[in-house]
Amino acid sequence: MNPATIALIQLLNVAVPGGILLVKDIIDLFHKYPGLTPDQFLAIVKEVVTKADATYDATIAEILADQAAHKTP
Amino acid sequence: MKLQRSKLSALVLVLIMTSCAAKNSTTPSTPANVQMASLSKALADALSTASKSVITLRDNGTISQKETLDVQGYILVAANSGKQMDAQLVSASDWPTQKAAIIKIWTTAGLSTAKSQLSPTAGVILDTIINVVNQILAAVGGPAI
Repeated sequence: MNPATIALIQLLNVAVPGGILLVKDIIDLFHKYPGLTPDQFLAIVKEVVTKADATYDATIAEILADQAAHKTP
Repeated sequence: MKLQRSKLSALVLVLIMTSCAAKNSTTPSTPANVQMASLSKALADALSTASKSVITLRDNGTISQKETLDVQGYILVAANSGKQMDAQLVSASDWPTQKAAIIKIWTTAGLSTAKSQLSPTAGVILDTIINVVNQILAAVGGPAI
């Protein structure tokens, strides 16, 4: 296995939590997201999670504000 | 000799990749963490909608303030559980460890017992949340709640 392939698999192992990837998994990744580098792939996952977190935070803030406004004296 | 072996290894790898690609090119699977990240965003959106709905129902007199507080309590639990799941998804743990942690997060959140304490109107709001949570649990091989 050439150094570039080893580096690629190491990067994919960081990008995809699942331990050692099979060749099939690597192929699936590149078919599903053609042209993406492992770093770009990981960045997309993180971006989606960050957006989800921001939505969770906004909902929590909305509820706490509503509860504060409707607090019975 | 070493260079030839290296070239041979690369060739074998290419052949394996090509043969597998031919078999799998029609139905590539979505990587697990991409699927989970998408489901987390779907849950976050569902919770946001639920939060707005319960406030509207309270403001137009359909449900009581007490029931509003109950539903909001469950939305807060689900939102905080969602944030815990997100933290797992970007952690350095391997996928089996993440899956086990995600199942534990949702099965201990107490959302399934919550519905029995609500009126049908408020229960419908919780149903939408439980539906997405069950999609998450199905994706990690956990039990439905």
